[in-house]
Amino acid sequence: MSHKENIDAILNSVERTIVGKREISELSLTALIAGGHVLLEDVPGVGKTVMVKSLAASIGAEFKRIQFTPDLLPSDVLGVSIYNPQQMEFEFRPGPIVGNIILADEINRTSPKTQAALLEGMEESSITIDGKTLQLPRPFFVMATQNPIEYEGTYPLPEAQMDRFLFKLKMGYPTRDEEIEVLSRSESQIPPELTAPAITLDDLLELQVAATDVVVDATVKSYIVDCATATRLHASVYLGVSPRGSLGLMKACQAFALIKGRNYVTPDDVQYLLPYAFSHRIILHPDAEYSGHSIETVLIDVLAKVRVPVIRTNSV
Amino acid sequence: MKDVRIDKWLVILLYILAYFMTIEWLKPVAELTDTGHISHFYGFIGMSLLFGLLRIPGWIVVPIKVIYITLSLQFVFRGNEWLTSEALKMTVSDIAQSLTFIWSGQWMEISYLFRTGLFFILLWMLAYLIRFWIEYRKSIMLFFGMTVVFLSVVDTFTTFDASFAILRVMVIGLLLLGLLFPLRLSAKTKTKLPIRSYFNVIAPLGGLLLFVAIVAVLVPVKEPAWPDPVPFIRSAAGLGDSGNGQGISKVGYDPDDTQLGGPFQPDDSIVFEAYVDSRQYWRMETKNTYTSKGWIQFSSEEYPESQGSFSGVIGGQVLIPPRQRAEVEMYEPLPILPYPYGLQDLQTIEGLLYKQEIDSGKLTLNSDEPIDMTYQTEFVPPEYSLKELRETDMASLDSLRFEMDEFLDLPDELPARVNDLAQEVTKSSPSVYQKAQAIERYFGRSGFVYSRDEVAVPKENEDYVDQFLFETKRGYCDNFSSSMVVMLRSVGIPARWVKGFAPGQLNRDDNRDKYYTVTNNQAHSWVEAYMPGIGWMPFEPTIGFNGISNVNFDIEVAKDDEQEQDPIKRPEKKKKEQDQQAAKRKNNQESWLLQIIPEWLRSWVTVSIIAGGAVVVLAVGLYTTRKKWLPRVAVRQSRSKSEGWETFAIQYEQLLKQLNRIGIRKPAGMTLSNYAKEVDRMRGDDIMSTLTVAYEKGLYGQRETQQDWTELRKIWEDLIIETTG
Repeated sequence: MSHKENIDAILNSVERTIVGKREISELSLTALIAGGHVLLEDVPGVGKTVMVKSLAASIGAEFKRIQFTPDLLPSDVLGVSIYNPQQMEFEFRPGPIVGNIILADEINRTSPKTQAALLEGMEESSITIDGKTLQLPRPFFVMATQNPIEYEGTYPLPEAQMDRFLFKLKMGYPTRDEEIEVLSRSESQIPPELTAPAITLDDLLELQVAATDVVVDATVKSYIVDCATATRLHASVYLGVSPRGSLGLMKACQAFALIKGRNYVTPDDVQYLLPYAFSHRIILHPDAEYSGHSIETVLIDVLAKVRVPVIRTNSV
Repeated sequence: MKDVRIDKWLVILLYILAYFMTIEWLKPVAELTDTGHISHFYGFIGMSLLFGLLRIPGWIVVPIKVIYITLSLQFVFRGNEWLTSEALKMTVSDIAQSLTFIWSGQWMEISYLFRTGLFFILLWMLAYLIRFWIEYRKSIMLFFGMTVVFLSVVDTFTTFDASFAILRVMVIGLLLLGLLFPLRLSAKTKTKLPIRSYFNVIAPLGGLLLFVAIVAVLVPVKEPAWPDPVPFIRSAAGLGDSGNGQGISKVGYDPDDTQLGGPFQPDDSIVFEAYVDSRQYWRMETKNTYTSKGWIQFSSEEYPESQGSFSGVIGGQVLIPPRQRAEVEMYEPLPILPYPYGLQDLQTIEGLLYKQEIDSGKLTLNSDEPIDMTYQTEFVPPEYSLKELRETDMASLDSLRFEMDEFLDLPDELPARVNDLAQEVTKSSPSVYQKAQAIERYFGRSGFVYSRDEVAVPKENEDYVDQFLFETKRGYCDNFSSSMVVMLRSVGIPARWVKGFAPGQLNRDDNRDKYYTVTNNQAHSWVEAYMPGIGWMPFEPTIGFNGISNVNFDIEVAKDDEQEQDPIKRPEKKKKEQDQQAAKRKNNQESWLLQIIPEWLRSWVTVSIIAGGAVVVLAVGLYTTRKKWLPRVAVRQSRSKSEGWETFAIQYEQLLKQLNRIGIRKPAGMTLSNYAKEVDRMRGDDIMSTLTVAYEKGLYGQRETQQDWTELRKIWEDLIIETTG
C-alpha cells in the first residue's frame, strides 16, 4: 500500500531528527493529513520547533515561523501592501502566513487582534487584505505553541479560537535515555531543514484525499456523537464539545486509521484521539476544578461510561 | 420548607401506625391474662412514642415515666388508696423486697407489682426500639415480621382469635413499609424528595393493597393441602391436649364410645372370616345419643328381646328375596355378633340360643362368655325402591317426631354453625332421601381427609362434630358417621349411629369359594337414617368406603338425571352429549377452554404440581448450566450455515455473550480490541485478538471483506468450546 509506505517514510524521516516522541509525530501527521491545526502547549525547550521543522522538511514543504510578541501587528502576520514608486502602484508583500507549514510560536503572548488574524486564516485557508482575497497554499498547516496559561503576561486564547485547533498536544520532557541520545546526536546533527524530503507535497495531498475515503461506520459515528454528548451532559462541565469538535474528531480518526494502515475507523481510534481532540474544547465548572476534577479525569470518565458499539446495528 | 413539613407529617403518621401495631401485641395479653387494666399499658406506649416523636430530652422524660409507672402500679395493686403516701411506701418496700429476692435467686417470690413494673420497662424499651426503627434504620420489617409471627402463634396455640388482628397488622405493616421507603431513599441519597414522590409510592401501595384484598376476597379459599399440624405439634410438645389421658388407641371393636377422637394404630389381626357371596357390612349395634364427645345407648325402657328368630327392624322393600347365607368363623372373641343386613336366621354350631336387643340391634348369645365360634346366618339383603325414596317428604316425618324423639335429640351446646351447615347442604334437595344423600356426599366434596393418625380430640368446651366439620376436617369413620348423624338430626331426619365391621378383604379358598377376611382394621361405623314409610336405611359418609345400600332404580327419571341412573340409555345419551359439546366448542372455544382447563388442573392437581415443578426445575437447571451447553448448540448450528461475514458476526457475538456468561465482563467503555487483549492475556495466546480484528474489519469497515472464514471458524470453535470446560 503506497499510502502506508509514504506515511512510514514521513515518520522515519521525522524520527531521524527527533529523539523518541513517536506519538507526537504521529499525532501531528494525523492533524496534517486531516487538514487540521495543532496547538502545542508546553514549556520552552522541549523540541517543539524541531518537531515542526522536521515535519515540514520530511514533506518538502515551505516552513515559516512567526514569533508572536505583544507588539506584533496583524500585518506582520498577513502581509502588507507597499507603494512601489517605480511602478506607481501598491504592491502586496505577503506575510509569513503564506506558506505550507507555519510555526506560530507563543501565540498567547500577542494581542487578540493579531491572534484573530492568524486564526481566521487557519479556518478559511485564505486571507483577505485590502479587499483582495488570497488563497493560501495547500497544504496549510499551523502548529501553534503556547506557554501554559498560568504564566504572566499572556493573552489566553478565547474559546472560539481554541475550537479551531484540531488537537492540543503536550510534548513533555524526554525520558532520561532519550535526553542522553539528544545530547549525543547534537554533535553530528544535520539541521532538520536540510534533510531530504521523504515525499512530495502532491503525495501529501493524495494522502489527505485518501483519508476522506476511510470508512466511518454508522456505529462509530454514533459513538463519537455519544461521547461528545456525554461531555455536554457531564456534571462537572460548564461548556461541552461543539459539533465542530465531533467533526474534527471523526476526520482525525480517518487520518489516524490511514496512518495505521486501515481503511476503516475503530472505536479504539476514537478512544485514543478523543483526549487530544476534546480537551481544549471543554470548560469545567469552577467548583468542579476546586473539588479536584480536571479535564483529563472528566474525559476518562466519559470514555468509561459511553458504551462502545460492539454489535451490528441490525442485530439486537 | 414545604418538604420539611411533609416529612414531619409523615413521621407523625408513621408513629401513629407504629402505635397501632404495638397495640396488637398488647391485645392478646389483655385477653389471655384477664388483666383489667390494659389501658395503662396502652397509655404508656402512647406516651413513650409521643415523647420520642417530640424529642423531649431524657431528663424530662425519665421522671415523668417513672411517676406514671409508679402511679399505675399503685392504682392497679393498691385500689382506693393509690394516691396516699402509704401506698408509695408499700410500693417502694415491695420493690426493695423483690430486688433482694432477685439477688438471692428466688425468682418465684417476686411480687406481681414488681413483675408488672418490669413489663412497663419492657414496653419502655420497645418504644425506644420503635423509634430507632422508624427514625434511624427507617425500616420496620423486623418488627412487622415479629408481630405477624407472634399473632400467628397466639392464634394457633391459644384461644385468642387473631384472624382480624392479622389483617389489621398486614395493612398497617404494608403501609409502614411503603411510607418508610421514600424516607430511607431520601436519607440514602441525601436529597429531599419532592412531595410527588410520596404520592408515587403511596398510590401503587394503596392500589396493591386494594388489589390483594379483592383477590383475597374473590379467590375461593382452598383447604390446606397438608394436615393441620397443630394437634401433632401439641402432642409432640406434650401439651396434654388429649384431656382424657388416653394416648394412641388401637383400632378394633370397643364397646365404649363415650370419648371419640385421637389417633389409631392399625391392627391387622383377623377378627373373623365370612363365607358369603357378596360384600356385606357387618352390623353389630346402634347408638342413639350423641354427647358432644361420643355416643352412648340411652334407653328408657327395658329392651324387648326376641329369641330364635329375627325381627325385621331394618327397613327396605324386598322385591326379589334372594336368600343368602353367610358362614362366619370367629377368630377373636367378640361380646356381640356381627351380622349382615337383612338377617333372617342364625344358627350356631353349638346350638346356643341368641337374643337381640330391639333398639340397639345387638345380637348376643345367651352365654356370658365372649363368643368364639362359627355360626351361620341367613339373610335377605334389603333393596330400596328409588321411586319410593324420592317420594319421602319431610312432612311425613312430622307425625313421627314424638316416636323418633331419641333419634332426633341433639346436645343443647351443639354450635349453631353445624345446623347452619346442614341446612345449607340440604336446602336444594326436596326429599328426605335426597337430603340424606346430600349430606352423605358432602364430605367427599369439601376437602375432608381420611386419616387414622393426627386426629384431634375435642377439648372440654369443644364439640366433637363441630371440631371435625370446621376445624380439622380430618378423621376416620367415627368422625364422618357422627357428623352425618348430627347433621341429619339438625335438619329433622331421624338418624342413628351404627357400629360394626366393613366388608373386609375378598379371598378365595382352595375350592375357589369366596370368603371375606375381616380384621380389626375393618372396625367401622356408619349411619342409618329413617326414611318415612320405608324404614331405616344405611348410609356411608366416610370417604374411601363404598356404600351399602342397594337402590333399585325403578322409576322414569328426569332427563337431567338420566346419565346417572339409567345405564341402558347411556351410550345414546353420551353421543348426544358429545355432539353438544362439539357444537359448544365450535361456538366459543375460548370459554370452553377456560372452563375445562381449571377443571382439568383440579382433577390432576398432584400430577400438574409435579409436572410444573419438574418443568421449573428443568428450566432452572438449563438456565444455570447454559454456559456449558449453549456454545455447543451454537457450534452445531453454525456448522450448517454458509461461510461468510454474516455467519461469522453471529459467531463472534455468541462468543462475546459466552465470555460474559463465564464471568469475563466487558466494561461498557472498553473497546473490543482492548477486551480481546485482556482475554488473550488470561489465556496466553492471541486467538481472541485474531477473531476481533476480523470482526472489527467487518463491523466497522462495513465491507464484505475477504477473509479466511474457514480458519476463523476453526479457531472460533476451539475458543468457544474451551470456555465451557
